[in-house]
Amino acid sequence: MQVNKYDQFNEVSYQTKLPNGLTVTLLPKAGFHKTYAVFTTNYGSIDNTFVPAGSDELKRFPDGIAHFLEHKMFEKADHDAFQTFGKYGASANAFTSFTRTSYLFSATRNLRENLMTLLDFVQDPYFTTKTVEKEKGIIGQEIEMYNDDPSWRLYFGMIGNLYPNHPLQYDIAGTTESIAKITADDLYAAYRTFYHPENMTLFVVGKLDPDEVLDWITTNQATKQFDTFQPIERRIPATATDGHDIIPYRTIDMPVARAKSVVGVKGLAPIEDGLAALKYRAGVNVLLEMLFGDTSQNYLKLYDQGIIDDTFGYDFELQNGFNFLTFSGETNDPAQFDAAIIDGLENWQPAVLDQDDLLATVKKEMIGRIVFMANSLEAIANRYDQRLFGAATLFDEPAIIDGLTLEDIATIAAQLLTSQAISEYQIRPATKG
Amino acid sequence: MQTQLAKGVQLTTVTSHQFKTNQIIVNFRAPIVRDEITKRALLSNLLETSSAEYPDQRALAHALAAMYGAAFGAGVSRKGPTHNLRLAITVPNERYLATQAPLTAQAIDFLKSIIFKPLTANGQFDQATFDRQSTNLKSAIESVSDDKQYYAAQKLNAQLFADSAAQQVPSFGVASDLAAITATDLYAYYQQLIQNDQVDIIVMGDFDEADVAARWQAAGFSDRQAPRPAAFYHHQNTGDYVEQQEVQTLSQAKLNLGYDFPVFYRDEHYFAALVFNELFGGSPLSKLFMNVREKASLAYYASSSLDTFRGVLKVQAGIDGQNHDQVLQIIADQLTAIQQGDFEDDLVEQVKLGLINDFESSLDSQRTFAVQALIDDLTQQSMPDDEWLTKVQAVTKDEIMAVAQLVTLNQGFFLSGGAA
Repeated sequence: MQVNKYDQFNEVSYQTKLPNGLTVTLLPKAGFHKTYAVFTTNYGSIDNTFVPAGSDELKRFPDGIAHFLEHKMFEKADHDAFQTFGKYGASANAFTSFTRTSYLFSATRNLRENLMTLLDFVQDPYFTTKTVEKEKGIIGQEIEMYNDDPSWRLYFGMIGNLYPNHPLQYDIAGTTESIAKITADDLYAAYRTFYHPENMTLFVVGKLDPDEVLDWITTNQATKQFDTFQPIERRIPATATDGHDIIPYRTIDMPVARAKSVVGVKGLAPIEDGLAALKYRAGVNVLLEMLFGDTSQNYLKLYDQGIIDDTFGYDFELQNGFNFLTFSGETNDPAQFDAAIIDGLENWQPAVLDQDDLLATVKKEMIGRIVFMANSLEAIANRYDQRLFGAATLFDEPAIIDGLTLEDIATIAAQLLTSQAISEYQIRPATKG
Repeated sequence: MQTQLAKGVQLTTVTSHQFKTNQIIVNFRAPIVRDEITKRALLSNLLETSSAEYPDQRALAHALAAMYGAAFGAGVSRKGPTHNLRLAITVPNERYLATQAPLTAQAIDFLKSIIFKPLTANGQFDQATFDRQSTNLKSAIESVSDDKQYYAAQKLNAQLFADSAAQQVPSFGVASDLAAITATDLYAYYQQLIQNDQVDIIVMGDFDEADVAARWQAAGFSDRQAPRPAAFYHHQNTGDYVEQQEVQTLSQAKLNLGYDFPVFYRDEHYFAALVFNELFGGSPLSKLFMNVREKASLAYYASSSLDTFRGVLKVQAGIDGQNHDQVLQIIADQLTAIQQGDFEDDLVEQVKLGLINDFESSLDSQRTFAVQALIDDLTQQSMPDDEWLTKVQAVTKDEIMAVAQLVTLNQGFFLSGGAA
């Protein structure tokens, strides 16, 4: 086991790769009552075109299949994994993102039984035509629910603008039409391709003894047979590095009380993996805070002019293969909102150049926020992303933030905030008729 | 440790090495009065964004960032017949940072400055700040109805408490009240609040208790003359089911049901009610989840929740509108099944384990201690963790069936997208 000590935080993490390829990370937290475990496969909603294990032909699968598979993993021939977790008093869940599917539980008791349940149910697929058909009703309701959510529509509207030829634009759950096409065979094909231990990670944090827990996991995995891992071939369409495919502007009507607007910026240049990715993310977050955070000049000016209010927010999404910024809020005048944000983005220089004091303040704030997250088992586990950041954990971030210079921030701004990467999407209140 | 700072002003300190942050919460609590609710919500927005020392958000944000990203916020909530205005700040423990700055002491001084030195001029709140926050609160309240789940819950609440204006109104107020509230009125109301509201201060983390107590002692809170507010509001059982319907442009319909359920926090039926709710719709093992969602494939969510400070039970389901009658029937059948004892002992044991898991897990969140300290003061009782666990484990099948008999369906709200 590789042991990483984080003296500043009084924390230690343990990491190892098992013979079958599974990467296991353990992080004991003294004084905690609960243990949180996340079992993740590097397989998400954008992986809809791939060469199924055992085949040599690229195949297009229906949108929403990763999420559908996540739902179906819980159901077995004679029981439901939720019930097994229930029997041991654990709270279980799962979620699918653009690039990952994660299964998790948290429990204060019966750690061994719950951990074995997690490993066993995810490593024992059971799909039949009957159970697949039944799930279509449940997921159909989930899709409908999101369709009514203006914030969700706003977010996916922007992604559609930035990535018009990329599977990112599709709802993670798919559409009622796409999931209607999913079969049990499709689920098995996806499962065999992506649920090999070599493509998966297990992160356990909280009340635990690392030697004991690793022993349980190793023993469990040694009893299971897996085919030899074949490197996964997925086809993600390349997106234009000059941004020419970006849709600059769209608007829709919805029954909302007030208009909502989002300005998006697509990261056109590819980002390196590992610590470089972590540094890039920290740098962009510092840049955002300097440009539009509540410590910035822009924020106060726009707030006092009534162009933004407490609904204003921004986000940087960085995942394997893509990254983008969003700035969103409710507004009485979407055109004015967009113009103000775009002006701040295109004229970023005064907010960054020579702002040494502001940088120091923002770094303090961001380092402090890492200390906040150190209280949360969920934050520690879910911030970990092996495919993107390698072995790095939350506790590696303060040193990275501390090392950022104004030059780093200016370099990122000059490269990221270019006019051709910017897009707008608005939801306007539908006239009641 | 508890310290009485003045009559009706209490400081509770809880020390633990478990967390890497320290949290300080100040609660101002008063009997809920219809015409004060919006005022208190607006006060919370004003206090969150300005003070004499930090006259705008940027000044305030810089002060917080300098305390290594201290998280500061104000908010309002309802608990039974009381309304709570809360100010909270959390700071990292400097032990985990490259600084010697006494962040907890700074955070207390910051809160005192916010509370006792608001941004005022000529006996009123600063007009420009007041106008901005009044406008923003109006927009925020109006946009709440965009969240259909929340909207449906709010409509049901109004039906359930048709006999009490104060209980009908959301804790964050009513947009149409704002036009009549002036910066002068609000400042007068705030001065009254500072003198009369019950105050509960809770500090949780790893800090010097004597220093923290001394800092709050020096704040100079005066004795409260008003009696301690009541802890519970008793919902009136109307007996018959009345459903209201509304049609909007939307794809997923919402069915919200309200029941009279006269069980109150930690009374004789309380623990049986907790187990009953988990069994009925409070967990993924529940009858509602299993029968409405999993077996009949009729909903994405179907769950129940308890309000043991007002004596009601609520069910909420997101469904396809054309299945309204079938869903209503299945929900009724699940309640009848529990009343008649049609559930396995194993399932009872499982939902108890789930409750215990939730309880023990909550001890890993700093916020839990603040919430519990406030409830303990409100109800004037407290219970050791062990006793809580024992009482949950001791609940019997007969007790669950008996408590289920107390449930009476009163109100329904059905929000749909029209004829399917």
